[in-house]
Amino acid sequence: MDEIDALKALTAEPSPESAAAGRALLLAEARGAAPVSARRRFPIPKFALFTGAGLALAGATAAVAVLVSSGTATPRAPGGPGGAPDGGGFMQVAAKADLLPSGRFWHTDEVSGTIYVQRPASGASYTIFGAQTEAFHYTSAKPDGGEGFFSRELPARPATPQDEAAWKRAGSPRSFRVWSNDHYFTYSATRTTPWTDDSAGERGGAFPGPSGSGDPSGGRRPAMTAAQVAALPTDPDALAKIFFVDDPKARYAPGTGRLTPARKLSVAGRALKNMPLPPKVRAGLMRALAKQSGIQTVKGVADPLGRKGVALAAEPETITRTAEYGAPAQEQGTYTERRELLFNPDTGELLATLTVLVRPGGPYAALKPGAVIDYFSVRSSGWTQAKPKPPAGLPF
Amino acid sequence: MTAPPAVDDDAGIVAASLAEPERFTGVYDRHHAAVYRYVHGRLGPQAADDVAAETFLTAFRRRADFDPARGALRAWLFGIATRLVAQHRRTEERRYRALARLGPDRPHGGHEDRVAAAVDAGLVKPELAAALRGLSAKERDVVLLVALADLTHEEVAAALGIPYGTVGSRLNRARRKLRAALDSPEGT
Repeated sequence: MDEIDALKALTAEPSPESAAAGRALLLAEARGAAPVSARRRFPIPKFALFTGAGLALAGATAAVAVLVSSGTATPRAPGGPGGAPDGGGFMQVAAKADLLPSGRFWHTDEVSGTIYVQRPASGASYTIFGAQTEAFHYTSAKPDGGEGFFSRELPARPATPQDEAAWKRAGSPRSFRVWSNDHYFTYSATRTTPWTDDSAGERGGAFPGPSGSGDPSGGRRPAMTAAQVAALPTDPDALAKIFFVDDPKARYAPGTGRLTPARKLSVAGRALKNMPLPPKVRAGLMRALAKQSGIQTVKGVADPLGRKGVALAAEPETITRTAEYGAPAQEQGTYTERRELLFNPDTGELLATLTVLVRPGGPYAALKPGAVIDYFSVRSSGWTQAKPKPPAGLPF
Repeated sequence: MTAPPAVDDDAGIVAASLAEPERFTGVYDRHHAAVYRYVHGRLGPQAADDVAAETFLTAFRRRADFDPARGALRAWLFGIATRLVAQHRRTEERRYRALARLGPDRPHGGHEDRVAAAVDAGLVKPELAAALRGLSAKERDVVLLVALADLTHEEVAAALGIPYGTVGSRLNRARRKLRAALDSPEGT
């Protein structure tokens, strides 16, 4: 007997019970799965960056190519340009979300910021991202598994390489005075705070439910257990009936109570970030959003962390800032923006929620269409087996 | 099996499962026993149930990545199984250590180890199990894919993503070490 034959004695046949159990697991997984396409690189079209050599300032690119830049809302057919059955390529992205794994903890690590225009007494104006914050949140799937909230402040910084050049010409100021939330505030270009642990002994296992109203205050968001979340349907139409419900009592659209496309986008974005949706529910919700009227697919979008992907964009909305709350003259005026959800085309994961300038005006008169005016970028998100911890490294 | 006669080869079943996920059970029906035997050989009965099942779940989730041009499905499955086995290094180590201890004069390991090893008692020479512990992880992957899974050199190369020539050299090295253990006076 040679050594190869001798090793065969280590093997054994599976018991019928073991073989049947494994097959049942596979069948359950397969029954819940959506069809997929054979793997190929999702084609990201070459596009002209509005900001030129955006990668020079690592991670600071606020470059967005707006393929559909008309401010006049021209609702496309549901699902994307031309109403193609695959949602203009988006359905491929949604299919990738089917393949994401599950685990014991759901976490989201999110970096956010808002653009502010700096107008030096002499020299060109430039824009910065201020109010930059990183927030880390996790929730266990089970009630006794815990929940954690952590946050830290990140430095303000010029928004694009061009802005960085103008900032240097202005003497590289280390702080920025901005008009924010109806008052002046100063952001530092150097200040980073340590992580603050805001966890208050939550037991975990409770998650925000679907918010039909899209109420930013979160008032109508009854908690759901992981089991209830897991029991959500996977069918896009059934999910639309749960998530995109008009609310006659809603305040945000006086007289109509109708969920605008931008509100639907926000509702879906919040659910994708904060609810432990099983992969097939996530994919179903992405498909449901893509099918809504006033939502279209946009390719070649990037977030302020420099990550490119495919976005779902809501039809633009026009904002007018008045002097009512004391805004100085240069902060008043009218501009058009739209909300976008940016997805990683390779994995289907949500990368960012963006507000993008469509028609410059008012406080953003000096900016170009496509500029990101505020962002919530998901630095990492998803299921883990181990209890997640906030990262030590800075995002930029 | 639910696969209709029109699709009766591995690549065809995987292709069909892209649009009809349940068709992937055809892959399970064809290959589960072989994958189980291999995993059992490396990790023992307790871990084999889970790891063999996990191999097919992983393969199913990645089925869109399977490229028939890069090798047979069998090799791809055993590549997945081997990567999962690698996540259970301690289990594998414990198994060989326990097998190596079996014998009249050898001290037994803990209760758990004894139970796991008892299944194979008398089948595998303790010296061989001890020699397996002396192989590098890379040598073990190659020699056990050949011995336990009956993979050809080409299939091993595809499964592990290593050059064909490397399979031969690692296999020769591993076999020499194992043969030396079997030929030792104690092992006869």
